[in-house]
Amino acid sequence: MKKQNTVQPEAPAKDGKLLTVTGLKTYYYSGGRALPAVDGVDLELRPGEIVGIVGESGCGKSTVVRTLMGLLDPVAARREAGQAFFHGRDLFSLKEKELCRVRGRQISMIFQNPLSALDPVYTVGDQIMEMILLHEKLPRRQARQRAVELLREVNIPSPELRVDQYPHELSGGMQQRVMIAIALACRPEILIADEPTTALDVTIQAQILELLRQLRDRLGIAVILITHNMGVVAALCDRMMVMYGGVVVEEGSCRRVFAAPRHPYTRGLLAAIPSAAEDKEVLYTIPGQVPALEAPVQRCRFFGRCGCRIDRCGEKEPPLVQLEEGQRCRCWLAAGEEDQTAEREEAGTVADA
Amino acid sequence: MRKNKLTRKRWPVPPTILFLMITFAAIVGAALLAPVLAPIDLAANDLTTRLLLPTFRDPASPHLLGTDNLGRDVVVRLLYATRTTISISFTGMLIATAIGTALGVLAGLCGGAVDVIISFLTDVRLSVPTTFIGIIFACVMGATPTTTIVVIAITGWSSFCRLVRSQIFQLRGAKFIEASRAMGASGLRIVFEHILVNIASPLIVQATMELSGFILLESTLSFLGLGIQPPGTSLGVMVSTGRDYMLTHWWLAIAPSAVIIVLILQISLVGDWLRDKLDPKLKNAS
Repeated sequence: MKKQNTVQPEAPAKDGKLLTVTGLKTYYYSGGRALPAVDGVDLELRPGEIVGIVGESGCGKSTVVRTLMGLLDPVAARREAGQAFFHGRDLFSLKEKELCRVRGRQISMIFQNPLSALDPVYTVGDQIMEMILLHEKLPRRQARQRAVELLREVNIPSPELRVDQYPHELSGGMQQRVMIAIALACRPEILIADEPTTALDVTIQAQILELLRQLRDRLGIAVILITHNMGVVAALCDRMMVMYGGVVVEEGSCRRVFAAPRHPYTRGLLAAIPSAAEDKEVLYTIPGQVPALEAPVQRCRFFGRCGCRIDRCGEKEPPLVQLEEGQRCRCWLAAGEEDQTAEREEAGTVADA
Repeated sequence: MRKNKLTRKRWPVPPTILFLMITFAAIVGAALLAPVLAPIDLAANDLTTRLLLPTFRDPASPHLLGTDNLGRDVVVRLLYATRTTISISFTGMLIATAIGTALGVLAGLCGGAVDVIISFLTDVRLSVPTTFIGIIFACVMGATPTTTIVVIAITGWSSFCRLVRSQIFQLRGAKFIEASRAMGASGLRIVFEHILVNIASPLIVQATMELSGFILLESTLSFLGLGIQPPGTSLGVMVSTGRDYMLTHWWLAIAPSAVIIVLILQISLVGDWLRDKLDPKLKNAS
């Protein structure tokens, strides 16, 4: 039962990467204007790795994975550039029919609000079976048996009863577990989790995150986790990417980024995590708002909200520079000479007061 | 813990609805079995027995509702008439539902120019009076049962089209549609397995509601002489001929009218109940 049923056209690429996305650009079209929602994003994923993509609403996190999965609204959005190599094939070059075989079977996805992501007219079991039968030839009875096993695997009590229930009869945490069971039905290599815990309360959140971690450890599934919650990233991810305004502003191992964040935006996000230990009157917020999507800009995207901007930030957009231990940061302060960086860091650890 | 909470819910049918369903089934069953129950030649007549009194006027009369102006038993005629009316309006309803659903799905899924054109056609259709369309078709195609079915189909599709279109616009944004795409389901599969199944309940309710309207439409057309022609019969034809004897033999017009009223009431009341029963909001709340 546990055996991998998916056909693998090729072994993972030689460099050990499961998925390599380069130069991804996705624009939304509105009123004849092109709005860069994703403006040049690179992403790498190794087998069994959990990568977190963090950022405020509207920074392009979801658009990245929706583009990857080919789920963009064809009228409103278009991928302008970029490649995504998965098993030696560019996902973007696949025809819809080939993509249907990758979706769900090799790359599957769970969503933010599990109740609306489940079809209200089918039982939980029907929906798991649909996924299984879409990708594998199997008698219905066996598929049903497998559905029960999957429910057990995601820690749903009395799965024999639950399998015949409708989504609205289950609690939010249960519904998300069902979504995960559906996503895992065909033993995918990559699981994309788009804000999987946002609609759940904190204790259930922790359980779902723990479940994702267990599944990664047991099945070796690589996970792309999209969230705006730094705590979730800290709890689960190996590596993280911080997105702002459609670009990656900082990335690296979670340990490294949490210990030494280099981009002012990342520092702002970390400062905004409420802490029970500190007795602060006012919760820190990054001043300003996520800028509206606009045509490609020449300056740093965080310019308007940054507490430690320098003249150069307004003139030219900084590149994503390589720092030590695989950390990368898109900031002139990190890119500049080491002494200048240190000086600046002292000068303004984000305009707090 | 109540065990039945965990098992699938049953559908309790209230006694009144059950009664309506059973009587409706009995009427439809008797009507459809008319050629078996009372095999007669619809064209045959016997003027020596014309306008005999019904049993409630003359207890010795063998004819429960008397005989009509051509000496034919009214009860037997009623069976045949109901059979015609029901089969024509039901067939018309099926075709109207199919056309309306197909156009609604097209408009809802394609959007853009397709949607504009189909919505325009719907508006055009709704702006032309139904009876007027019936008259035109009767003139062009001749007054036959087929014409009546065609008239029902091409006047009835618009409400289904509107319903399906609006339902699909609601569903298009639904996460579970995106989720099933993410599962690897093809577009056609999503239309049939998810979209159509999700709009099935409102569609069934709409079809039930419309069916009573179609029965009325068939009767109207036949009453006006644009539908079924003698010696064939339908409820509308019977009301039409009975009308001439209203003063002396009022039951000739009242009996078929009563059947029309009873059928429409049964269908509408069951339809109302179905609508409440299948309403997804109420279902989710329970």
